[in-house]
Amino acid sequence: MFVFLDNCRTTKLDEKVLDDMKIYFFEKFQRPDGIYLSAQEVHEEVSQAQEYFAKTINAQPEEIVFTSGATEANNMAIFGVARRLKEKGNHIIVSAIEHGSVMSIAKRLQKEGFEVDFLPVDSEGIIKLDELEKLIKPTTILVSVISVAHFVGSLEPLKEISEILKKSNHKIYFHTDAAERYAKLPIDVEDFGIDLMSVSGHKFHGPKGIGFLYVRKNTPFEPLIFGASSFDKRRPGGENVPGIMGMRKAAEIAFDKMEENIKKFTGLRDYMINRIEKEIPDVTLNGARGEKRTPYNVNFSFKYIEGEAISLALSMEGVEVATGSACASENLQPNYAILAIGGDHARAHGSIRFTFGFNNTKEEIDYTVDKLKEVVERLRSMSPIKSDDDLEKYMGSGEELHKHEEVDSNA
Amino acid sequence: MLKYNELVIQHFKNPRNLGKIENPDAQATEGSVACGDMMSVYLKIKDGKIEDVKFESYGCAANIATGSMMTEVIKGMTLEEAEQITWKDIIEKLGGLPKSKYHCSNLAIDTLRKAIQEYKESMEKSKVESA
Ligand code: FES
Repeated sequence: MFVFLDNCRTTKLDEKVLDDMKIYFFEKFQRPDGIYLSAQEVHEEVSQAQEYFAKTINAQPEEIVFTSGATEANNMAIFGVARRLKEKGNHIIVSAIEHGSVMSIAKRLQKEGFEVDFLPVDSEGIIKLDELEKLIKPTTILVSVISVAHFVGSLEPLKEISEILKKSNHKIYFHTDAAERYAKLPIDVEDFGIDLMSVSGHKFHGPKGIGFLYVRKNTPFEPLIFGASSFDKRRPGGENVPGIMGMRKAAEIAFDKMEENIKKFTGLRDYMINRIEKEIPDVTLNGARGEKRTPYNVNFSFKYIEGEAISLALSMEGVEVATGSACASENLQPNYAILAIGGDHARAHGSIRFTFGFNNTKEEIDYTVDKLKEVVERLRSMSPIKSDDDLEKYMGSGEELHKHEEVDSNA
Repeated sequence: MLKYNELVIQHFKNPRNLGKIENPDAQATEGSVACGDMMSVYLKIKDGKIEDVKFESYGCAANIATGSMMTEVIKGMTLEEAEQITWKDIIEKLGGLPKSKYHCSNLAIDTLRKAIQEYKESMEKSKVESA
């Protein structure tokens, strides 16, 4: 059996989406800015798509800017607002559990002279609203908080955040990276008080290389990319029409089934959590339970073993998952989301993230848990660490072990 | 996920010499500073030769594979021969590892050397005591 449970990284394209896209590769391959009739037709259809996306989040069509995905949308939003408002203030707040994309933007802004604060989260991975209140100051221009913590799956209190921002006597713009929420759970930019929002097509069975940024009307905003005018001068360059139309189809499918999906995957999520907790000893659920968790994420730490080994062993059984282990990361750093929720190095070391796509089934979950049991048991039998006492004895706090030291490759 | 070659995958799947030796002649447990992993090595030594060796790993696939290969290589060697083995030898035997995984093989060798060193020190001590 093959089971893909890394849908927070990407999803498999829905075949119906590809059928729709083909039209815009072969029949209507023109760009929307041509003067001939066919181009005008494409223009009309892209405008309709823009209208459609706006409607799904209770926004206006001109507030949707198509991008190459959420990473570009995040860059566009944060750099766009920050650089434009630099004169007004240079203070930005981002949550401590942002996706790597926003994290690197925040670090870049620090280099450009912006002051960046990282908003702490609680043990469930939910941002601390009282800390947010404390961090706000007259120079704060922008707050960026991810909609769903991408590693531990907690739902961030978007509405409560915007309510706090509205209390300030100067305008603070609110951006959210909604790649893990859009088309999976409802979003209302009016009700939630969102000013900028990033979306990615390939997170809900749409094509890769397409996404959009929602920018509320009158938001001061500087484009990131300059070029010849086209469909949208905020984002010049050849429009990815097949991508836009494919993302539209994927969104239509997702919104049609949203309620059904939420119900189905809430059930599957809790079923999986229950089975793992009942059948595998010494596990820790990472993130919240129930209402505060996305239906599409399960994340556990398996004590006394390492995550890269777990995920590689699982993939040999056909099950594909993600891990927060330092061993699996390029810079050998443990997953920062686990550290942000108060976990230690060992907890990150044995963490495995399972994320659902709309196509996952109960049979797949059962198969995954069955294989997981075998793999965890086998790796545990191979580990010198058998108990918390062992962990303490050998690892100490984990801190000293973790001081990064390059191996001298000439040795 | 990193790219491991077929041989590394094989050793990860079916590690040789896995486990513990009861009443070993030498034993060491070491941790990797880079990523927070642990390895234990157990040795049975007879007439200056490694008669048996086993290992345990709280580490990644590369660490498990290097532990497996290292134990296979040193089994039957004299202590002096075993001490000469470097992490580079192990990587070579495995047909290569991703560069970011070099330290995992280093951990295997460090643990082995520590076990041998401790064995030698305890032999010295017992010599002194019996003299
Ligand atoms: S033991 Fe951590 S990277 Fe290999």
